[in-house]
Amino acid sequence: MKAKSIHGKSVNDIQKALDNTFNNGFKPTIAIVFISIKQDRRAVCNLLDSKNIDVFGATSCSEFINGHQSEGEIAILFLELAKEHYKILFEDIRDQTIEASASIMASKALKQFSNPSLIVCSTGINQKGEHFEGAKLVKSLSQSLGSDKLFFGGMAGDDWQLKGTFVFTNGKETDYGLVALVLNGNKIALKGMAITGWKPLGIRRTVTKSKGNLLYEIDDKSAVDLYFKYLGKEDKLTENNFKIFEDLSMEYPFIVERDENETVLKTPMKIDTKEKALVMDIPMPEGSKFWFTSPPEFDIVEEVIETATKLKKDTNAQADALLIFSCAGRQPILGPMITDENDGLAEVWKTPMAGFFTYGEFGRVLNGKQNFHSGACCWVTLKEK
Amino acid sequence: MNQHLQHILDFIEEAKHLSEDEKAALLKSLKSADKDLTISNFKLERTEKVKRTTAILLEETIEELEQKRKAIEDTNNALQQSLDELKATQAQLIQSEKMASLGELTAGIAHEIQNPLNFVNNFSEVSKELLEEMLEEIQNGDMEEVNAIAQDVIQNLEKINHHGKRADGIVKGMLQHSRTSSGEKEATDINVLVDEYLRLAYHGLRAKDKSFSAALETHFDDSIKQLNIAPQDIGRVVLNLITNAFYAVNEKKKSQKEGYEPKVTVETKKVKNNIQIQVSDNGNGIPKKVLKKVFQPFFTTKPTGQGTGLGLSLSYDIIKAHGGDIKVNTKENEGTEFIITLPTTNNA
Repeated sequence: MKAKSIHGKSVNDIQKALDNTFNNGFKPTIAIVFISIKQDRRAVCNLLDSKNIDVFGATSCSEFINGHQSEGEIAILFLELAKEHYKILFEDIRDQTIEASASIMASKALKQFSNPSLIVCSTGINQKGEHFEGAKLVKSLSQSLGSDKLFFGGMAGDDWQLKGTFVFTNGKETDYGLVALVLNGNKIALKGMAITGWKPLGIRRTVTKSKGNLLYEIDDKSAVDLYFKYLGKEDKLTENNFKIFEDLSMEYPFIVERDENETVLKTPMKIDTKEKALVMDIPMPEGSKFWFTSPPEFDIVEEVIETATKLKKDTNAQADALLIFSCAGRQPILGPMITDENDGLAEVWKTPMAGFFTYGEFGRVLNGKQNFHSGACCWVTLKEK
Repeated sequence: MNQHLQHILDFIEEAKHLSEDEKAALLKSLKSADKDLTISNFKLERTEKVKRTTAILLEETIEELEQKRKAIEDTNNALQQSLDELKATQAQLIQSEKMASLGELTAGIAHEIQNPLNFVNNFSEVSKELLEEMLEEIQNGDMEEVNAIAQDVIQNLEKINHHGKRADGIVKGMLQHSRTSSGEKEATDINVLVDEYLRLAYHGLRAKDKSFSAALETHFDDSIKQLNIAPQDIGRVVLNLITNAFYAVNEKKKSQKEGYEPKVTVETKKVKNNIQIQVSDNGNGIPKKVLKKVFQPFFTTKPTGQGTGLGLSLSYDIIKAHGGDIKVNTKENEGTEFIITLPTTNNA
């Protein structure tokens, strides 16, 4: 399978890069598009449509390809793959549930191929400001597909505006739905992993009062007071302009226990002053056990790359293309080193790469089961057998 | 870019004495240095920030743990105080259980003392009459008759002494029962002990409740020799089991129509290296849900004020302290049997 990644600041840039691509005899059939909410994604889709290229797209929170990371731009990974080996599926959830939509998508995928592998992007936050429940998607998709089936992906971003994210394909888009690139698993192999780097700090705590996304009490104490006090921001409690997510919780989410010794990051997004509760991105039911965190050490970049290198060596695997779904929260944590992480992975696999900063990731930790992640660098390689 | 590096960069770009290749190489190194500097600055800034936050978090956590430790310490102290109070209350209850069993015995003891006292009274009256008769015979000078009467008086006095000692023994036994047991073991005839307590219990209950009656059946194994036990402790166990058996048959009798014959059987036997004391009744039996709890302290099915709930619990402890075992078999509406097993060996 041939692959090529391009980037551009505008539709014109993409037009030029695309022409360039075609001139070299490359005939892509799929475009995996990660695009800023500020760009005209409809125009990009029309352009690709005119070239008879199938679009798998998600809005981003910064996007990147090999050696180039941007904000507010467009990154595309083109794949030249026979039409019979893939299918792009789109589900607008709207009046359904996430579970039902995931189940429908899984049925369609299984109808298409006996052994489907999926690249999946969901929306991250809709135009009403509601967060997409990634865990529900992963659970339902995993159950419907079968636990042995692989899928990797992420939740669309919107350059931290938190006003609406989109997934799209040729002629269709939604702010509450899914898009999947379904691959014939017998022809195209996926290999990847998710790794976070946040570590538990202090003692294990218990949610003693919560309702939906509202977290009221931790160990019978006010969650708001405790969170601010323990992170040294008590003086900010009365400050109206204090942005809890940007200034605090992006770096200091909670690590929450979940089944089979795995954990997931859950992040306070804002404070509900009326309810005096933390508004979480993912619900934390009463009884949940969790820790405060310390952000990843600087060597996390090396760890991500070394783990990938070891996997490649151990499995003697090669790749035709690489996709990276990296949590948007990693950017402020890793600063200028974030490009080292993404480029380092591309260098390991020596392959065209594209990716974006997400509002949630889908994948497997090393030797783990299919799960929803937050704060993770989730990468996946594609290799035609 | 760092302003100093920017200055160098501007200088290189304007330098006329450098070739383009040299400029490119220098600019590459300069950009690389700038990137390294940016990363170093970022790391420094982040490390400071994380260090600060982590320190606060750990400080708060330590303070919280210290508060928790203090709270646990306070709770521990309160628990210890409750435990001490509980122990004191338990000791009082154990004493009251002893006094309760003494109460069970009192009437029986009175009955038991009555017999020797009757003998003492009768024989002393007879002896008085004999001595009056003897005085007459002395006046008559019939020394042969005097001698015969004196022999009778001596025999009577021996009997008075014998029954006096028996009463003395019963009183001493009662006192012993009410005292705290030293747990000291002594060679004891089990059959005699069991028989004694059976009679005491029966007469005790009869004295309190004239309407009570039950068939008593005893099967004592004569091959049982003396056993090394703390007699007042084992006596207390036997008394408790027999009293319970009487209570059970009496309860059944109260609720049954005619035709029911209350019966309590006490049996001793030697089984290999053990002695078994079995107390069975044909009462209502113990319901299944209650059976598990009968040896638990303070568990009783008797109406409030009639049982401390310590009888079987203490019995269990006493038998275990003797290296033995106590078991219960019961069938609802048919009856219950308690079997005490005491080892004949290693019970010194």
